[in-house]
Amino acid sequence: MIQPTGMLGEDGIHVDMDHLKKGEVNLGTSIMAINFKDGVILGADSRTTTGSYIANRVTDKLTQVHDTIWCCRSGSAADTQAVADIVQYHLGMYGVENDEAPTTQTAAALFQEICYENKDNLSAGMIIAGYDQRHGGQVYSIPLGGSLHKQTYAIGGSGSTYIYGFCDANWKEGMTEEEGIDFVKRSLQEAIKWDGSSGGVIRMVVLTAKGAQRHLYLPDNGYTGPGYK
Amino acid sequence: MFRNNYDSDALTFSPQGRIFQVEYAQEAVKQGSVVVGIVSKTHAVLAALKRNAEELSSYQKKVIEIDAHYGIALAGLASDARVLSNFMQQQSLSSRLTYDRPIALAEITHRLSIRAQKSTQQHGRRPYGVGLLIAGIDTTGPHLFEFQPSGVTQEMVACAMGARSQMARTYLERHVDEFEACGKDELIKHALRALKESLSQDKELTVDNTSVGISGEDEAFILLDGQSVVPWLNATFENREGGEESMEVDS
Amino acid sequence: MTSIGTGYDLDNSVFSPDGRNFQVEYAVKAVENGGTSIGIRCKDGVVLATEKLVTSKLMKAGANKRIATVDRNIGMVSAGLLPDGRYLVSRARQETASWRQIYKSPMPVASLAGRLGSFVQMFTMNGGLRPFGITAIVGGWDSEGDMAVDGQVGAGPSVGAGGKASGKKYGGPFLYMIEPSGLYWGYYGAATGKGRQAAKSELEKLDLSAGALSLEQGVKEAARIIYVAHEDSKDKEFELEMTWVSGLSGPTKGQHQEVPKELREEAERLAKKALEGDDEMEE
Repeated sequence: MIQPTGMLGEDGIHVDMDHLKKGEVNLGTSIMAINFKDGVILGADSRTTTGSYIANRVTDKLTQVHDTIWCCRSGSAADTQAVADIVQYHLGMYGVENDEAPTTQTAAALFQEICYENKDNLSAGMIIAGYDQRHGGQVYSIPLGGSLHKQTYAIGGSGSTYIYGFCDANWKEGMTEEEGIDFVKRSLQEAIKWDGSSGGVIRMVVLTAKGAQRHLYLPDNGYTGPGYK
Repeated sequence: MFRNNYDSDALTFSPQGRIFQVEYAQEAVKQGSVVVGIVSKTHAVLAALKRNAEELSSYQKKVIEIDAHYGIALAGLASDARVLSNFMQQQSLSSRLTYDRPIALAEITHRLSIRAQKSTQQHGRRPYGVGLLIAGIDTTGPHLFEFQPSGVTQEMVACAMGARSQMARTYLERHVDEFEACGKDELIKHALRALKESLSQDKELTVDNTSVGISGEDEAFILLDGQSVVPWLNATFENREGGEESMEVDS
Repeated sequence: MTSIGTGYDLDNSVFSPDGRNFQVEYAVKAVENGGTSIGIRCKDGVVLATEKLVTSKLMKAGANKRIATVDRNIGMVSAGLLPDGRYLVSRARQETASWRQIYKSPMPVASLAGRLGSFVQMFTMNGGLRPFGITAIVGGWDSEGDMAVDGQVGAGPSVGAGGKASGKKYGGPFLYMIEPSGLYWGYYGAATGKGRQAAKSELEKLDLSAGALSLEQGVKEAARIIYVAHEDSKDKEFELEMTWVSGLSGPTKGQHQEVPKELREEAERLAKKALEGDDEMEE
């Protein structure tokens, strides 16, 4: 039976878990973004699945839409890539036309508009995080229906269900960069451990006044390195 | 054929920065028969002189109800007024449908102005050849607006336009301070007297050629035409000579 | 080279052999006949003021406002053909509304000026259109506070975002003037209409670029300048209309509003007094 994405099943209780088209690539995922003392950190696992098959084990789910505005993508890979592409175009135009870099909220507003207006056709859960000099670091979450939530930190994807308690217990305001990276890494490790659709490496992006810096942590050495690059 | 090089369309400025086509359109208003409007604190009134093409023809419509709370009086090309009154009726209805609220007079006048302006700046159209008085009442009280083919609109206390309207204007200016306190009756009388000032010597206000429109607080816009205008003519011009005769009508 | 009779001045989309667009120059003439309008960019806000000529005593006093609010933080006034001014205001409102629809936040004044400049320019180039017979002054305040996203759920985290650059200032007062050619500049003090020359020389005396003039002082200067500019057409009656917009900590809290009656009347009293003073000095 074909059902629109994100709709309840016939019984009105169970969410349709089998909403992807046959063969469609899913980001069964663990993603998160946090605020810390100097900006924001985005983190994600790297598993992409087609049903039970791992289509890509080193996926990059952290996508840049402007210099220091990035997003974490969960849901359909095709949908979220398309949405991020559109927003990247708009933000690029904004920067050129107004001679001023767009802010994180501008990006969040654009993401929300697209996700809300096309909610019936999209399977996209996104976390937007960015840094600008005026507002510092900011984290926005846009879950399935297209609502917009400004948060101190946000977690998303199928793996996030396993780490709500962990994050709540370990969250601290105003962490240092080192503490922040550790928090994200440990959270995602837990998510990967419990969620069958999450796995692979842990990728992170740190956004501060200094710009964007990528981190990579491999399972081979228990996610201890290689670190930033 | 043209008076100068700059008057063949509404898209050409003269070296003095004037747009002749728009000014000519204003002339069409001056050719129309006179209309008068006045507001008081409680009422807004329109009065108009109707013309007939010939003895046996009917008289043209000069006052049009647009919505329950307001109406217009026109001077100039009646067919252009018809287009605009249709537009206003549609806009007014849509306000009631969408917001369950009668449209504000300032708002409908603004929309009219924007519409008229476009035909003075965009190709393929001519300016409207009609002037309007828009009178009625909304949540902020009674209002009277003047509309010109150029798209100029102004809120007025009293106004007259059309042929020989200067005489009516002189009357209105002389009494302008009295209007605010006027009740319905007094206001209609003032409007009719102002209207009469603009008539040529050989003419009278009669049951056939006079239209009055009035609306007030808790009073819907009503059009007084034909027999219903007779009492007002009688009350306004009690002691005029031969008044009775001109008022007699076989209908 | 004279323009008249050459044929090069009849169409808006035609250049004369020496590279001029006469229709635009004629449109400027329409502006020069309009009532004076000015804008002053003060250190803590913007004032807009206009000389509204009373053409008939039948006009309703205090009605027929000429300075329009475009978005909550932006005001606009123009000199020249009234309906053209109104049309540009409605276009400006569309621009700010569509900006909000896309970006969920108020439009910066500079961006609005840019859009309007392009719009007005289009009317000097396309056949089937005529240039705008107005010069418009756009003044507003870009919020200095953190911007929320319209429609965002909740106020967000109570703890401030990390990593803000300290000591930097954002937002502030902005003032632009757009001419019939589509040309626009940012200004400290802008004047247009019949009395612009007198108004300009008064504005220059204020040393606005120093950024020392307060908004309240600006209101008084604006009133005085309109009165000075009106001197040449003294026989005509006029109404002074003034609006202002300040920062979030100022009197209008970032919104474009009419100057309160008491302050306007006080400013008018001072303006009249200043004019009388001038007359005495000349004697």
